[in-house]
Amino acid sequence: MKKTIATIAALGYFGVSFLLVGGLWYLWYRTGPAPLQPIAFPHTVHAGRLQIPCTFCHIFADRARSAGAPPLEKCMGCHKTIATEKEEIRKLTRHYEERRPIEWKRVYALPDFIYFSHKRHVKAGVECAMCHGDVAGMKRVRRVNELIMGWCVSCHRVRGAPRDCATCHK
Amino acid sequence: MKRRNFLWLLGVISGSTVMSACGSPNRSAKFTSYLLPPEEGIVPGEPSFHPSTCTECPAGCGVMARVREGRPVKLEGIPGHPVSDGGLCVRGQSSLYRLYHPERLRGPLARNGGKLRPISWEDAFSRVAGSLKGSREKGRKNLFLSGRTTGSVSRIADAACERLGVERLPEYEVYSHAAVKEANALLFGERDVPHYRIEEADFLLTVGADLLETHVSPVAYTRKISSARAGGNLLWYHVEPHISLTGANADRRYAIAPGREPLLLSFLLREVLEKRTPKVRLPAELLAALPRTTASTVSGIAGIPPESLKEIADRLAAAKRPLVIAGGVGTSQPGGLDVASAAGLLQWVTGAFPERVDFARSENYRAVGTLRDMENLSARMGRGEAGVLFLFRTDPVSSLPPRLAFRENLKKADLSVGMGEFLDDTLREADLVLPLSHSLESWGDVEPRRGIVSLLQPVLPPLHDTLSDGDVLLGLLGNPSGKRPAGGYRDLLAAAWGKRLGESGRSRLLRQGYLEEAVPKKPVSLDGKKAVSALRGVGEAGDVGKPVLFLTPSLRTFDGRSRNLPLLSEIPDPLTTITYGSWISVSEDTATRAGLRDRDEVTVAAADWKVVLPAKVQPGLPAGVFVVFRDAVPAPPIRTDPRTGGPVDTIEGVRIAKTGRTVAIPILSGSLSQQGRGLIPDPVHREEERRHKRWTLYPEHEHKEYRWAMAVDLDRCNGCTACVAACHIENNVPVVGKKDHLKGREMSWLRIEPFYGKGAVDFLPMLCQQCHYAPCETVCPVFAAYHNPEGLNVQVYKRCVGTRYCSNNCPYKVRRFNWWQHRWPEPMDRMLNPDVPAREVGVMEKCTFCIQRIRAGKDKAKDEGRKVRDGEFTTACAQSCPTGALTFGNLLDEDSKVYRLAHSERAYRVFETLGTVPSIHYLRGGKP
Amino acid sequence: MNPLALPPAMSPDTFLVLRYLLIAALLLYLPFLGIVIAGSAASLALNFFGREDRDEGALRLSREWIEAVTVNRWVLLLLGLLPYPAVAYLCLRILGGRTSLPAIAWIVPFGALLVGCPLLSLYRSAIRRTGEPPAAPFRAGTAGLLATGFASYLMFLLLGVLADPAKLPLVRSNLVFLFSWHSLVGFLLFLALSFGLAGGIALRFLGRSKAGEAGADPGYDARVRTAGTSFALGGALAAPALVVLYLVSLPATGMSAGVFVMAAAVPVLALAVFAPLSLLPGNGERTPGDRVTSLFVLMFLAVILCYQAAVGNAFQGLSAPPGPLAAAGAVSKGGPETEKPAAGDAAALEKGKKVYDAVCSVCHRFDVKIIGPPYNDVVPKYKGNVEKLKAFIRNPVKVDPSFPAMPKPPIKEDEIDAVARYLLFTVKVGK
Repeated sequence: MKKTIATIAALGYFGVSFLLVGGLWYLWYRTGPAPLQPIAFPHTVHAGRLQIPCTFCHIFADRARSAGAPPLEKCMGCHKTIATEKEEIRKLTRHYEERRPIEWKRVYALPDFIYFSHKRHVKAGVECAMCHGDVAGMKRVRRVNELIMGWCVSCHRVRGAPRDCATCHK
Repeated sequence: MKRRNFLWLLGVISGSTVMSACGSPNRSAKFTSYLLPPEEGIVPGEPSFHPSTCTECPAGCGVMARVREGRPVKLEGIPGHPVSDGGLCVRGQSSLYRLYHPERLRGPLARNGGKLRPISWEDAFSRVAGSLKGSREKGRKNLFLSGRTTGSVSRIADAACERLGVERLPEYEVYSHAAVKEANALLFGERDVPHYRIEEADFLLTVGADLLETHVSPVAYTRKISSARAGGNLLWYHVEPHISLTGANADRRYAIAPGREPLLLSFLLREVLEKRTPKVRLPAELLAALPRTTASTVSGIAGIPPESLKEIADRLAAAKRPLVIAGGVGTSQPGGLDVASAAGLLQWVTGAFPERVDFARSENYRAVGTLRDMENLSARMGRGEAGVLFLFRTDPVSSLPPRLAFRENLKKADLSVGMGEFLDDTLREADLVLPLSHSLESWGDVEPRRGIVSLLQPVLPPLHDTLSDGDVLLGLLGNPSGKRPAGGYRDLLAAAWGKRLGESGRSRLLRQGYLEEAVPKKPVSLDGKKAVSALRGVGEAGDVGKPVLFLTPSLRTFDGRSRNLPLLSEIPDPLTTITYGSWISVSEDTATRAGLRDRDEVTVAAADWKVVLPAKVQPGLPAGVFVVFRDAVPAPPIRTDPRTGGPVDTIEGVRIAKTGRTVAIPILSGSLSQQGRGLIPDPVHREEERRHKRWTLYPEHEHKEYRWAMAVDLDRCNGCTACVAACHIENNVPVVGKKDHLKGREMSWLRIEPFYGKGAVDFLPMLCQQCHYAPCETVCPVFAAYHNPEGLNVQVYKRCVGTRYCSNNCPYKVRRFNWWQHRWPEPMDRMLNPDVPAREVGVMEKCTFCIQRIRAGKDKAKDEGRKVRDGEFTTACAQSCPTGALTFGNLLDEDSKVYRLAHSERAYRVFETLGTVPSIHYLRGGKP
Repeated sequence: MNPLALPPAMSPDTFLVLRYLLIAALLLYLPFLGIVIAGSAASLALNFFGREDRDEGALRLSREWIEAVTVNRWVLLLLGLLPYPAVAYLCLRILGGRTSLPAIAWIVPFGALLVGCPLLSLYRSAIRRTGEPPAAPFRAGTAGLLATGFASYLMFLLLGVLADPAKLPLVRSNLVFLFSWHSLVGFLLFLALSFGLAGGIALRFLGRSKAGEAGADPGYDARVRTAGTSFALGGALAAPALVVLYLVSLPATGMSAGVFVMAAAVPVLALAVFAPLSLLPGNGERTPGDRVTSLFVLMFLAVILCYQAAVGNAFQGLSAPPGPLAAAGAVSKGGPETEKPAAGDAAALEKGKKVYDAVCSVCHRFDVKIIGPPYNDVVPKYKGNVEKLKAFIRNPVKVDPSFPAMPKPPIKEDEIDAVARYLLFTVKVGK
């Protein structure tokens, strides 16, 4: 009897830990650093091969608090005629024609209580790659750092940016 | 225990400390791309500003809606607007709650089997069309009743009524100023409320009119009075039978025996006629109609000391540009017409026309009917004459006295069509409910007074399936197929504006939000004969039998229309600091005699009417006078004044009896007296203010570029609490409700403290003083409260663990704790200002000097490579204040207004002797 | 070195080679270090209690155990000290060079090792000579154990930086940030596996006297068996939970399928250790030591591979290789240098260049084909006719079948004029 309980307990324990690993894998797959996007937009082609500057699409990176995704019209500007046979482009065109904006999965998301102004950082000369990594080399955009407060503060300290709590904490 | 066991235990305990799982915030958020790039000038994350008009009360103040991501999050006054000139009152600020109220009607409803069920707009309109035809065939009258409606909507309503063969009834307003209109009609042939140009006066005498609270256009009057007084150009005396916020702020306030205003005014009239130069002649019969009295008789009857009487008379006679305004409780008494007429005559003999009393730019109350008109309507409905009855933005069922039997008679109409935003008492009785869009969702215009067109424009698409006022009326006009014209009203408006104002006028209107037109001049003449009939009751000895109960409008709910906005219940009534619940104000005399204390429940009975309310002792209220807000009691027995048709808002011969119970109502102020602490200093405390060098252990704060400070002018502050509402909305301060208020746990970051003393009331706005040596900063165990390099005391919400030691240590008690996780029910969560985080439970919060605005201002200045200029931005409270009592700025900028005020002779700080060195400089009052 | 610099991008091949070398070094080093720590801990504990209770068996086990795990003094010193510089060097190289971390970060652990290993060796010698060493070597042993343990903790902190390289600037600014939760959990996992492996070693090499052999001591054998089994079971039980915690604490940037697959191996292997030892009836295995030891070594391998997979992921996309878009963020540097244009046209040309940068440069360059033809080829066809070029820009038509159709550019009339002038001027002037 005791042996059975022990067996079941042990198998349960190991089984649960195995399943937990699986569960974490599933969670990661859904919300990890490189989420699956509704349209498989490759920065390798656009930013890499074609060398389109970041601010061509992300028009608000140097003008507003949040850089945001480019408006669909920007994509259609080229893709009305370019690469229209590809499935992803057809998906894109359907979105545009049906007036359905694309809901991208957020890769770099700061919490709600943080005030972060892209405009200020770009104007201060911080390069995109410093925080976002080698986006031009990413087929699927992945987050390359954990965006912890200490990481931000270390750069602020070195560059002489304000370190007052109220600078970022709303 | 044995050593090894102890070691084992220690290991287990420390090993089982929770390991933080690298706190990853919710990273699965989605973000949506635009379809088309936003138009020029719209930058995501930056607000855009769009002018519109507030429709919370009939005053029609211009508001600038601050829009973030397609939804308005804050309303501000429009500087330069002819009505409000940049100010916005407490109700106007709270009107955003109306837009996002979860209980707003979400679609048309029709009564089916006794209950209101959803139907489509098409069906609703065809039902109306069918009923209109049907009732015409039956020989019944179709009627259209609305609240005060001005501008294009009124014209469309007229056109619609004509086309459909509907009779447009006189508009219904609870406060219709019937006595003033009747008096003006008889005396001057103008049945309207004139525009009072108080800024042109040097002596203002108000009789009952609550100019600062609800009378006609309170923000405009407040602004005019405060700027005139600040310039030292205006002296203001107020006469009232009770005590009101208006009276509390006048330079002198005289308590008059109820109903004796006609006597007082006729006395003053005779005095003025005698002493004023140049002499004005009145027709003989008119002069004869005025009773001859002596100062001592009047003083005895009216209850005003003879020296005061003499003073008022002398000032009135000697002033170069005096102005007398009667209204409010002064004219809603049995002798109301006499009061209004006497005041009109005083205006006439003091030469107030047209500089100070202007009918050419009157306040557009012409089409508003009286209580008698409603009696007639109810009688007609009772007789079965009503076919289709349209009820447009009006709530007669809850405000009319029960003797009119309006609710019962309403049922007799063939089809009652209610049009409004909420399912109020009236719409609940309607057969068909057509929901209207909020003014911030609609196109339109408002004409608050003649000669002003104020724009209404939508700043967000309708939240629910509602139509704007104009679109509903157009829909009623409809086309045969019953399809409603979507947005047809907008095109109509554009064409109408183009025709009336011209192309440039229209674009100016759209850009500015308002337009002033030229109005033809109207010469005013006095009709002596009719004036005599108006003064019929002046000499009568009749008085208002004491004890008397006054039913007054409320600053927080006006005539009751704003009572469903939760913020307005959360903000305390300035005189009593009561938040939730109704009460009856009793005089100190009555309280002593009846042994009443605050919160004791009393039965208030008169004739066949009874109500049970808790009592509040109100200092300054004359003996035998009681005050209740009109919307606080259901079905009050209001009589109709036979001479004016208006309501008589007094109930005579009331009896008060203790029931023995106490009612828990939240009274937020701990004490109505300063307890000798010199919060508002009197001469005694001036000695204490000598600033000596303080010895401190803490390192001195250095301020490099900015040091934010505020100056509060106590002379200007009138306690209207507009700043409190502005702060709530700007900073996402939650509404905590009655239960927490009963525990004394108020949430508003800014409070107005009334202090009674020496027969006067002073109002002290108290907010976080941003102390230089803040007692709260030193006791926070986690450094959540700290002093930032710009002089602010910053609270970092994420660090706060909720020890509440900071609030304990604060001598001003301005820190607020989140005892609960506050929820914002849909769609109210869209009202949240995205620049300010919503605090979690267990976190301390307080005034931040609108740090989000400081940050935005500095950001903009940095873009342009310069420092922030004085006046470029200001805090929400300062921006909303109609009197300009609050000034915010950079103390290191020697040209700034706040620097000048902080270094003025009147400046002092609260609890200066504690050594906290606050950044808020109060300017003490200099009232005579 | 620029304190803000992230690990520079290196060629994928170099990176892979370095990582494989690190795997090898860790596989060689960590199990040995682990069993030294676990074995010494066991030995010291047994010695301590053995002396108190006058337990011969415990003292014997204490001696034999440490002898088994350290083989001999030289193995202890060499294998305990020498691989560390290799590991440290590889870590630093991956992070970007010798100066990528302050020297103190990798010198202090080495110093601790230099102190710890000799002390342990001292203890070992002392315990070999007399089964019951006097106080001093015992204390030396304890000190040595603590020092070695501390050194290995610091080494794990160092290894942890590789799993979260974006944190490197933060660590450089203040060494306190070397601490990370995944390093701590990793260290605990290391300890768990080490204890398990030490137990396996005990089962394999100690107390194997045959019945009837001279010096056979069944009591002692049973003791060994108990001790070894409990260590093995403890490690096997702790490992799965710690692996789950490790996955939870790893930074999200390190995640990939490989990490999870490797991590999933650990509970399976742990069950394989656990089940036969405790669940099967009867006297079970005769020689579980082999199985237990190899399974724990496999677990070490799985964890090291899991960690290395995380490192590989974390470095992915972190730093842009040097190149024109490496410092991307500014508008492109398109268009060749032009000589000073006539004064009046300067503004129009300035504007035209802006339009080119913002709109046309997506598809066109002057000298190469991107999507559309290079300007140097097509613009001369207009022979300086501004109106003709403007007409084309306003309504582009497909001319050359080898290029895709040009979409109508979303620019206003004045911008069309400006860019046309700019193109004609620039191509005319030429390179």
